[in-house]
Amino acid sequence: MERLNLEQLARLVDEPPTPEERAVLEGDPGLRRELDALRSQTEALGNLPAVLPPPGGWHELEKKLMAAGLILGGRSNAHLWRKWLQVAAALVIFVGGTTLGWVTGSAPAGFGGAEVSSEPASYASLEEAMAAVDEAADRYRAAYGGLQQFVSAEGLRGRSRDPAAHIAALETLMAASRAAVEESPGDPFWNDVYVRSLAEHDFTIREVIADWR
Amino acid sequence: MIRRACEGDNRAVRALYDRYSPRVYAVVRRIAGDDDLAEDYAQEAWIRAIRALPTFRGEARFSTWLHRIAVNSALQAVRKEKTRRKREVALPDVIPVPPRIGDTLMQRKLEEALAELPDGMRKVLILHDVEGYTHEEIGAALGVTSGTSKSQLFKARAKMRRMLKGHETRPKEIEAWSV
Repeated sequence: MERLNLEQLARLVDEPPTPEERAVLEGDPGLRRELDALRSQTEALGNLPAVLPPPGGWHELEKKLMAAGLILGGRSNAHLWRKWLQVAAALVIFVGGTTLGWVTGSAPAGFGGAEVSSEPASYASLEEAMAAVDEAADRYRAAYGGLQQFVSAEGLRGRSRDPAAHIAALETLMAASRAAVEESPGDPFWNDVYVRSLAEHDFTIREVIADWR
Repeated sequence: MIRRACEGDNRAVRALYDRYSPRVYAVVRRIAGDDDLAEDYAQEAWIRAIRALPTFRGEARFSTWLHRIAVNSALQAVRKEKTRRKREVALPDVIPVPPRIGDTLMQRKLEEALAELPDGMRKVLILHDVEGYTHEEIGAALGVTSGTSKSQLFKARAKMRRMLKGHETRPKEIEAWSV
């Protein structure tokens, strides 16, 4: 067999030599050195380091991802928005549902029904997503304002005629606000909603037990 | 973290970027052979990956899944760029990557030699010897047979060896980077 060329040697980096090739290699120290050099070259290529992207790369990417609607605003968190929407939805359901059991009194305008969905939504653009968030924020504020109004003064508990529905609504509210508190433990707003719903739930249970006795 | 990134959580996506961007950028830069193009290609790869996150089922490691998206995205971008250049003006296939401070001499030589290889050989050598792809995987990514991938690899290794030994004349623009 003739002397092995460089491409044949390059193959021997990965594959075992044939008996003929082995014989040629054994008889030629120069070829063996060349094969060793090719092996070192291959090993060095495999050890090439990762490369840090240029500084500022994230900010450029962040803008593009936001423009594509793949992430929400710089400091915001989609999961938190989602929890927030769930609380808003729960409040609307809660206040709206509670009104069903009343004989007297009327719900304030703007939160008479469960109109907010907690299902993940898809939007065509960032603007559309932000508009939906703004709309939900308005609903939330209306619902929360209504809740405060009903809890204060005469109070919810004095007006409800259906304790079971009342407790079920409170449990929905507790679950949603607890999820929000877990996501954002330092937020006084969610803590307030959670504690209020917890206290009201506890009080209602006690009242039901007392009435039963 | 992946679930949150999938939901559009900015911090989760940033965490993924911080963790994986060096590897993504490295492979994209070597395929692109140019820093400016690499930056664009890497960003495009990330956008594709974040868009495709809901399809990630965890069958492969996330880094592997992301790496494949980056490679495919870069290969596609290179093809587009070549077509665009052909339409505009004849430019050299590859613009050499300048050495960076902190690179070892050997790494610098390897990166320079990689940039000098013809396009087909370079892609195969990067995917096989640098990134550890099999010939079947390379064949699927490049649309060639595994036999062609092998043949290109052996030619690329040999050519690179000659270049590293200084047996081949370097183009003038490469000389400009030699210190």
